[in-house]
Amino acid sequence: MSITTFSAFGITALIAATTAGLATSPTVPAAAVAAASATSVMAAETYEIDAVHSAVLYRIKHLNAAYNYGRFNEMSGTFTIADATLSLDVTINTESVDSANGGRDDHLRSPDFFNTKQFPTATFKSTSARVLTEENEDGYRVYEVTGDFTLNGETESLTMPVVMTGKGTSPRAGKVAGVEAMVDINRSEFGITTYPGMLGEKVRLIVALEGKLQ
Amino acid sequence: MAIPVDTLLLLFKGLALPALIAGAVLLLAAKPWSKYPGDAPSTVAGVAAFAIAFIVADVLTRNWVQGLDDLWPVQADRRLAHVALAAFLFGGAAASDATSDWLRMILRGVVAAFGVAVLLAFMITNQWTPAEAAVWLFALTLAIAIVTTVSSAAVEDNVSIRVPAVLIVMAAGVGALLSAYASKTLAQMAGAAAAALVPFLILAWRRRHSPANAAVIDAALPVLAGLLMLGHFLLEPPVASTLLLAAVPLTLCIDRLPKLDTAPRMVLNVTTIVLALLLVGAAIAVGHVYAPAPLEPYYG
Repeated sequence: MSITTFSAFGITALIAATTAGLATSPTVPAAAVAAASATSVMAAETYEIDAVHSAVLYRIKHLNAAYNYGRFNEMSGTFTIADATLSLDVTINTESVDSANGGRDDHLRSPDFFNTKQFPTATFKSTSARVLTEENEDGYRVYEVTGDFTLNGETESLTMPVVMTGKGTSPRAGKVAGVEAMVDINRSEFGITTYPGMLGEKVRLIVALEGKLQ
Repeated sequence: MAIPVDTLLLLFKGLALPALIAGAVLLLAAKPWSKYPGDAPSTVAGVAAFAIAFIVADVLTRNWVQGLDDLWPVQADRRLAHVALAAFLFGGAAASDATSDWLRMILRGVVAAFGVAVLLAFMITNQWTPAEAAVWLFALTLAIAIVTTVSSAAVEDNVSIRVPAVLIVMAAGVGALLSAYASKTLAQMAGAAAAALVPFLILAWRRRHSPANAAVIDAALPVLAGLLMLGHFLLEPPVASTLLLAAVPLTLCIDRLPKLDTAPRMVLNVTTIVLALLLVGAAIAVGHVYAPAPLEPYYG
């Protein structure tokens, strides 16, 4: 066996062993590897948010007893996934707040809370991002995104982990992708100070977005 | 059932405190140490008592000043204190007998224009065209300045308890309407305004000719008009309800009507207050009829 033949055999064996090892690894799913490989070489892709398949939820503690959940039904914007970064530009229609109670929705739209006549939208515009981890426990890439969140006319900088939850193909929309984020805000920083004892100061926002490739 | 501490604290800051502050300012201005029984709180004291009481109640009840940045808040409903401050700065001079009629009108116009501009700036940004904005700003400024001037002129000769009584009825009506249309905090501020007017009722009962009692119109009307404007544009109650409430101060002019101009003071007071109550009742009734009834019960 010549040196050249030995080398070719060795390299082939090494590649085979490496591939087999990755495919059978209990901690790294094959799909994640494929996704990571794909994202590591892909160009920036911008997705337009599909409000029908997206959700913006909030959670606040009531009477220091139970968490109350509500949502905003209308949002728009884009998110862009690039090789090592992710950007978000989301606009939420505050008038579309839905707490599953008509009377409470009217109250939430009033100046006591979201003041929707004066501030009809809340926005988040990312300013920087980095990859936090290539694969979380579900095999998804996680970014740390920093941006300006504007609510009730007040703007604060927020930093939150944003998970790229996957990609797919829709017969109607074509290529789609999803991201999800969760962040806690202090409502008084956004000028919402109503009922300080009755309602919690901390509000959790859960944002799950699906977008179609532009 | 025990009342929660938070509720008690809110009642204190929103109702008891403004009444106590206004009362304290009037008491100090009445010079209780004076040897002259004729000493009475001046126009400046009347304006200051209401304005200080309202500003303190607004800031403490809604807890919106948490830093220097908040002194010029972006939220329109938090600029009511600024309107009260403008009324405090210009109202005393506007209500003074020493001021000429033209200057009074100008000062009242300045306060009204400031109030309309700072409270409705968001309408200019979000909704109105420049032409619409110009018409609205001019019309509302003129309306507030005229109602303030007419109401104030009407009571110059005959102050009595009807001035604070009518303003309290108006504030209560504004609060009831705003509460029905889903803003508890704006309703609380109307309540604070009503509470700040209560000491004037006592003052009018004790000293009928106190200049402070007539002057409070120059402080209270811009604030109540501001609450009404905010409520109208932010919460959208029926236009008829807003107009009926806006007309309440004009009940102070009924002594200019034939037969009533010579009526005894008691008859005049009762007639004025009953008329104000009728206007407020009609405003609330119209508001109730057209209020969007929630499908599910909601209790905070």
